[in-house]
Amino acid sequence: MVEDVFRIIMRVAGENNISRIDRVDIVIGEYLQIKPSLFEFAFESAREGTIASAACLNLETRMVELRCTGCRQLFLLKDLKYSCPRCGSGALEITDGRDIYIKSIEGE
Amino acid sequence: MKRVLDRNRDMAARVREKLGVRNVIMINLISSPGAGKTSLLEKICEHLSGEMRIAVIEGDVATDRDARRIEKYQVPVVLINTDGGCHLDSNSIDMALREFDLDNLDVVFVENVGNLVCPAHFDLGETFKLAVVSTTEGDDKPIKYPMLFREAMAVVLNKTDLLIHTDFSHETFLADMHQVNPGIPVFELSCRTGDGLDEFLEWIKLSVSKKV
Ligand SMILES: Nc1nc2c(ncn2[C@@H]2O[C@H](COP(=O)(O)OP(=O)(O)O)[C@@H](O)[C@H]2O)c(=O)[nH]1
Ligand SMILES: [Mg+2]
Ligand SMILES: [Zn+2]
Repeated sequence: MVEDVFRIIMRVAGENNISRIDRVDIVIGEYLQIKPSLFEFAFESAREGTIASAACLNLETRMVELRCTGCRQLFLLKDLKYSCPRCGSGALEITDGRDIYIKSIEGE
Repeated sequence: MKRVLDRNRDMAARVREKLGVRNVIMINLISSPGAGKTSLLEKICEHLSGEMRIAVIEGDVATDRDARRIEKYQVPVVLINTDGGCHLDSNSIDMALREFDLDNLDVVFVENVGNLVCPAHFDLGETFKLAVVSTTEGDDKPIKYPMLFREAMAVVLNKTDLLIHTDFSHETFLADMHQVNPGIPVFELSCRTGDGLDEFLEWIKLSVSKKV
């Protein structure tokens, strides 16, 4: 996953004529179960020898948000309880917290 | 804002389209190393290759051992070596599928790399994911890896012959599984003794004839 992130960072930096990346903001949905500490570790080894070698990584996580497809109740996932707190239904759709995205890249 | 998985998702959609127009089902098997994916595929090939046209994509970090185990059943096999990579992606699946004559296939089974986290992140364009766990891994997998068990269409609990040697609790396992994904079918079987295999194979047949 870190490789995919890096490929995008480098492409975006190229497109914007950035020759030194100072900061990257990444948002990780909790659904993915990516451990921030492991991600940081992998990021630190991936950045070596690149234009992001001194970049500061800012990770943010997003909680899993679900919607009951029956009663339309929106709620945040707590204690991995995948059932609607209003009607008890297990038919849910994930409305947030399942993506990983790069929010911003700063550099010059 | 750049979504990291978009590129994989776009290619997965193309793979799904390509398989869909040819009525080919693709099943993505995900488990920890050693849970029994290859053993299960061997059983599937042994019992079902006479009645459906099967092909297998083997994802392996370095060797071709699993691919060779499957070749014995005379089904087309393509090996994807990920070179240490912990999951397959839709691009490598798209390439692998070019090796098959898709117009003359009913189902493609994909053995993903042994890992319960990363393979769940990457849509391969499969019809559905099948999670495989074994009794010797402990009963806490559903609660530790909820994403996989939510994304999976069904779960195989393998190595039931070893249950007596473990402290695996059925009750905990099933309760957690249904908390994470209410109503998901769980097939309890042993690839070693063949116990419970028939019911699972029937389900595979139904899935391939698109009745699930
Ligand atoms: N006792 C027992 N061993 C099994 C069973 N299924 C697979 N195994 C063994 O578990 C090991 C790993 O199986 P394999 O199919 O290679 O797992 P994979 O890494 O998920 O592909 C092999 O030594 C198999 O013989 C089973 O139902 N019972
Ligand atoms: Mg294997
Ligand atoms: Zn509801």
